[in-house]
Amino acid sequence: MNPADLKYAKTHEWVSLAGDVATVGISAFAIEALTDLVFMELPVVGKQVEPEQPMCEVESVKAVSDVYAPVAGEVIEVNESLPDNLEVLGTDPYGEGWIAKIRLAAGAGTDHLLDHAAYEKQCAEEG
Amino acid sequence: MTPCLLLIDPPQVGAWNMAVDEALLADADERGAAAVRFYRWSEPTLSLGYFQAAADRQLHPPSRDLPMVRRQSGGGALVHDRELTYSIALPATHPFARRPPSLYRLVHDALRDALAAQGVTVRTVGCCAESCGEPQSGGDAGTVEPFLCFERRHPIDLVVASAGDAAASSKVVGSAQRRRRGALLQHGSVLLERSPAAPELPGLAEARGRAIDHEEIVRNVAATVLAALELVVQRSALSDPLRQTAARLQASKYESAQWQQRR
Repeated sequence: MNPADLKYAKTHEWVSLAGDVATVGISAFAIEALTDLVFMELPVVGKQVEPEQPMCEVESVKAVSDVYAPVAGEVIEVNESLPDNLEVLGTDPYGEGWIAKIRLAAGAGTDHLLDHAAYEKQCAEEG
Repeated sequence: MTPCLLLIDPPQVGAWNMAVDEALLADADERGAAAVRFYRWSEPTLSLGYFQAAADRQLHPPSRDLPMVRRQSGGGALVHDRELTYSIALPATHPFARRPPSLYRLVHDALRDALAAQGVTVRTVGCCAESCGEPQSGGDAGTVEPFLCFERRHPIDLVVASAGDAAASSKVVGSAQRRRRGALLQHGSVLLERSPAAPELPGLAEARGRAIDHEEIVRNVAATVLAALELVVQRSALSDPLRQTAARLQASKYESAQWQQRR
């Protein structure tokens, strides 16, 4: 996926929307900041998630960080191979590094998320 | 300058200690508060890293009978016995929360200097060799890490070289972090003396030949860290709301079997 076509949460998750299903992952900026990822606990399929609420967790050598749900809905699929291949988060964060697919709740959308330009600006300010 | 809570706590049980640290992180996240805390444990306690399996404690017989608590932070298990623990919580707006590795360096440099003042020379693990250019991390995905934190090595950990064997070293300071919406909790352990519950790990007293004055360590490190982080102490005791949050977390989370056995 082209990062320029995605939408982003302020907490560094990206979203690609197809119909009412959002594919979700972590941005390259966040992957670099986390450094040396060693473990990931995927969300549970069927879990109801809300924006800005923790969806799953990732461990780097020296820290545990939450991954937040960028949209409201139900987790319908997770990338089962990801925990055993965490290197793809670094090599292909917007493709093979996807984490979960979320079916949007009724009335939920992505208007609250940042477009690529706004997200880039946020990263520059944080960087 | 950022207002700060400075806590120098008496020894408490593990569930309370972890609950207070989580309450401080929540306060940093939700209210933009900062805190620096030093504490000890009222009974020898094993703390598991967030993702460690509870069953793995069987891998370490000397600590098998100790009470156990699961931390919010990652890394390996710690035996909190003859040691000093610290924690620092910073809001997302603090410059050091935006560069998490820099906080490790700041605290560990402060500890290194405080220990040098007591005659103990410690150094960071750093690189495995002058020429390799690669950190001696051991944290690559797929490798099996030792159960105990103090048997793991990360470049920023502090070690003391063994007398007569420059290649051997004993880790005496290790730290870990929990990040929440940009807010940061870092806590870490200073191994003051070898514990009967982890006899394979010599501490600072063994390196020095006599006990470390841990109260002097607290004074020196607190002064250095507060100045470097541009924190000004506004309180030196938990507020009622923070105490209530910690009490709720202690009962509902850190003392619960569900949390202890979550993995």
